[in-house]
Amino acid sequence: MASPSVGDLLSPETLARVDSYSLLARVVVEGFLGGLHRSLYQGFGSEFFQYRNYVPGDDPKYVDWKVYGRLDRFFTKVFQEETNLNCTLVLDTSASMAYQGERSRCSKLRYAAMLAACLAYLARRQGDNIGFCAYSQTLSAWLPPGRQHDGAQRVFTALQRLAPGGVADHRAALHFVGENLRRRGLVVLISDFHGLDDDLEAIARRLRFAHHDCLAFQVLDRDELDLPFSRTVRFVDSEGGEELTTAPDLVRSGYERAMQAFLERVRSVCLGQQVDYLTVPTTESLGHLLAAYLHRREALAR
Amino acid sequence: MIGMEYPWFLLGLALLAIPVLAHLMHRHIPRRLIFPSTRFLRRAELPPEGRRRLRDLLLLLLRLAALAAAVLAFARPYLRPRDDATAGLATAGRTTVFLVDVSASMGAHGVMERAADLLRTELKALAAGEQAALVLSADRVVASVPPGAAPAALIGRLSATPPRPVAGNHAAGLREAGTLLAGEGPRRLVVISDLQLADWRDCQAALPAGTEIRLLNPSEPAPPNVALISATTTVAGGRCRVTVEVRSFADTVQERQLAVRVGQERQVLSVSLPPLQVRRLAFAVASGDAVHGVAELSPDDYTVDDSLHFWAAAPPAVEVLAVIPGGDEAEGRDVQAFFLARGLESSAGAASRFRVRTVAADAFPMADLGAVPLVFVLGAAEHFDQASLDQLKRFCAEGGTGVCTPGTLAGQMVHGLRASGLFDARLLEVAGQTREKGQACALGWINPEGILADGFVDAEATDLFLFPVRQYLRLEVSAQQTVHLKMADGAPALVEQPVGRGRLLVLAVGLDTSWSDLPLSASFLPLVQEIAQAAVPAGYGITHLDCGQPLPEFRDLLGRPIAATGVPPEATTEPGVFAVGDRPVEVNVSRRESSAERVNPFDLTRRLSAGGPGATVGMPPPASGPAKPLPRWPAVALTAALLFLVEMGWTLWTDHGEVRGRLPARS
Repeated sequence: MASPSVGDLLSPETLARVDSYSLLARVVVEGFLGGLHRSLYQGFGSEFFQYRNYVPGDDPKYVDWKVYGRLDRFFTKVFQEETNLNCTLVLDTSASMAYQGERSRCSKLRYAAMLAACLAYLARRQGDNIGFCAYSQTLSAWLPPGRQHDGAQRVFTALQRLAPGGVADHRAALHFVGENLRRRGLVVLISDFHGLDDDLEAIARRLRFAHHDCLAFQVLDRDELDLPFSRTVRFVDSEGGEELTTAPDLVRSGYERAMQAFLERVRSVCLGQQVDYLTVPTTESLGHLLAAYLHRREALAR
Repeated sequence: MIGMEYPWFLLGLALLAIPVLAHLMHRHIPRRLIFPSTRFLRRAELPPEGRRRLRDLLLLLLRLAALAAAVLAFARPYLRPRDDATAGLATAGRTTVFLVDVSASMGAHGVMERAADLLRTELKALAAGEQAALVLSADRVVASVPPGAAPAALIGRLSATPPRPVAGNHAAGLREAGTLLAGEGPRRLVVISDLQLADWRDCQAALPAGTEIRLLNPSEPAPPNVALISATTTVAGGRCRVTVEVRSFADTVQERQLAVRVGQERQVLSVSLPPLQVRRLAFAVASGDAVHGVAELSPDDYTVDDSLHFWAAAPPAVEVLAVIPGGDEAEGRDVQAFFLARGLESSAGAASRFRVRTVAADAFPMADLGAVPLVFVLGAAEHFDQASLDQLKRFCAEGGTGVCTPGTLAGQMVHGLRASGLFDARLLEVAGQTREKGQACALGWINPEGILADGFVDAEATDLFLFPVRQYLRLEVSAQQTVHLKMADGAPALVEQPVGRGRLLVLAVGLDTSWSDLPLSASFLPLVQEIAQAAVPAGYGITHLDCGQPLPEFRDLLGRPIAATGVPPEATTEPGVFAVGDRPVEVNVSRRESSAERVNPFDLTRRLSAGGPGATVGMPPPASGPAKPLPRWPAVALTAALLFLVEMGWTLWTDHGEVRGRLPARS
């Protein structure tokens, strides 16, 4: 019997059976890194950055005397600031995140939580500070990024306590996050962006102006993309509660057009505000997702 | 007026539940789904749910109508048009005739009381101006009260008339009711009867057109009944052996006590009767001089058939006619009659069952054979003229038994019988004793399935095959004839040929010593008695009458009527036993009344309404004949077919529309 591949192990079907987010994140990340053979973040840290001309007042200890001996000019060595990254995971737990289609092995919230756990594990491996925020109508969890040793474990524990419900107040939650992040860092927003498309540009601009690096993962169920139902269905909006009885066969094309327009609008807003954006169907392998994302980060870093 | 030929088909309307249930079971209930992206669904393209529901409802109604029409077509509806006289039928001025059955079966416990209650209720329900008449019917019209009488008079007339112990036949009653209904205006016939099948089976009446018929049964459900069917007696040595036949008409096992009483002697037996079974029970009672016996069952609801009167004494002797040659030929020829009379009239210590009367051949055509079951033609057939042969043939054809023995001109006998179609065998020769060895011929075989088999169960132990036969007729029999006795050489000795309902037996030897020593042998007496017993059925000589039947006219051998001295004219109206001369007569209530079979009310109503070519009830012809029903089932069947076609077309169109709606939209 052939042993399962890394891709099999990282599939949502497999990961959905793992209760512990800590174990889940380690399986994903270690499996993903092992398959990659090298760490993309290896070599990060404080080191010599560049030279600049000496100006009066500079500390003489930073003058490179060897260069002075060869060139007879004073150059001061400039080092990269010695600091850790603040990585804040912002997770939408509204009722719309509870949806699970027949083709998916887990709900959107569960998939988003697995994604957040993987990112937290990655950040902990490189010594970054981890923050976490979960919100719906109100904040349900808030862990500011800090230097605690058990920061990642606290995030895992908070992830396990998540429960979907309510109508998301994206503006208030992200306003709170922006106000409480003193240092610039990485803000990872994981949501389905339902109800956020009108406010997304303003929120992204606010975070961008605060010098935060933003990532946006739009988690969607496959049913939301292609509306696969055949018989007449009474649709009940998961957040608004409005009911709509219709034959999916008749409205599928219009629905798909509207959904594509929605995704395109979110993508264009994110591109305009220099926010890394990724559409994440819940049937997608977490390993492939992380690989695609990090390769993309690497390309952007060059 | 709308009616149905097969109304029970309307039970098929229960099938209407099938499409209703199918619609309920397949009614599409949309799945409720909590969905995040509902806002992208366009309401403008929603299917018209309301229109769809209405379409489903209309389709359901269409299917129900089609199915109902199909069921209705099977029930064969018809329309009976009303003529002008009955159009706008109203109770005002209507004439209602109540025909109440007072036959014996209505005498069951409580039935007449319920019949009176029904009559009382119906009389109370009469409208103002409505006239009522009453006909009490049994085997004839017992009483008739014309329209206009007060209801109390009708009730009183019915109460004063007990059920008659006769079998019902309501033809006369219906005729009387038709006469009473012959006037103008609306009319109605209300029949109050237990609707016994035998009483109504042959009744058909062309009542006046527009007569409304209503049937009321006061004996519903029919009570479990056990009846005494028959009693046969055999009297010997002062003792009477009575065999009683009991029949159960009940659906359950019945336990009864059966008693037989003859004179002062009475015996009782317990009998258990399975449902619808017949049992025979035998009693041996000392009869003495008594002639009247009664069998009695422990009573049930219908008591009339729980007793049976029978003749307990020996039946009268059976008259046997012996025809001998007349004139000079008779001299010395009556030896056969002598032996025959001795053989038949002798009996061991008891009165003989047979009495032989002798008549000359030339007087035979004048004899009255109505009271004679058996005729011996002893060497006289060869002297028969055509009238005598016709008389003999007629006698046999009507059920009698003739026995011919040869005389001096055996060839003429066989020729005459053959010519008149009485006997098909050919005479080969008159055979004699074998001269070579000096041995006489003898009988050698008896038919084990013939009429003599019972009397000669162990023929070898008798002298039947021992006495010498000096001469005999060698006959060549035909296929339709039966041989009961054969000679030792295989020649038939006693041949039977069926003639009409009776038969003719020809013996190959005469009954005198010139032919054989048979008359001198011990086997002679059982031989002739067995032949006579085969010709006389059991119980012969006793006349069985149902109550109400007229007393038949009895005649002696010479055709003279036997006076019914001491017998009252109404002797046959009540059960009992009496004798006319020496002819015993048993009178009992007809056992036809014991049956629990009922006529179908719908069939009876239709028969009484429409009449028919075989109507047994004469009616004055109505001014305009009874309206014929107009069949409506073809139109209903056509409607059903059209509805089914529309339903199929609609379903196909709807399915096509749904399939087309599921096709992917063009980009």
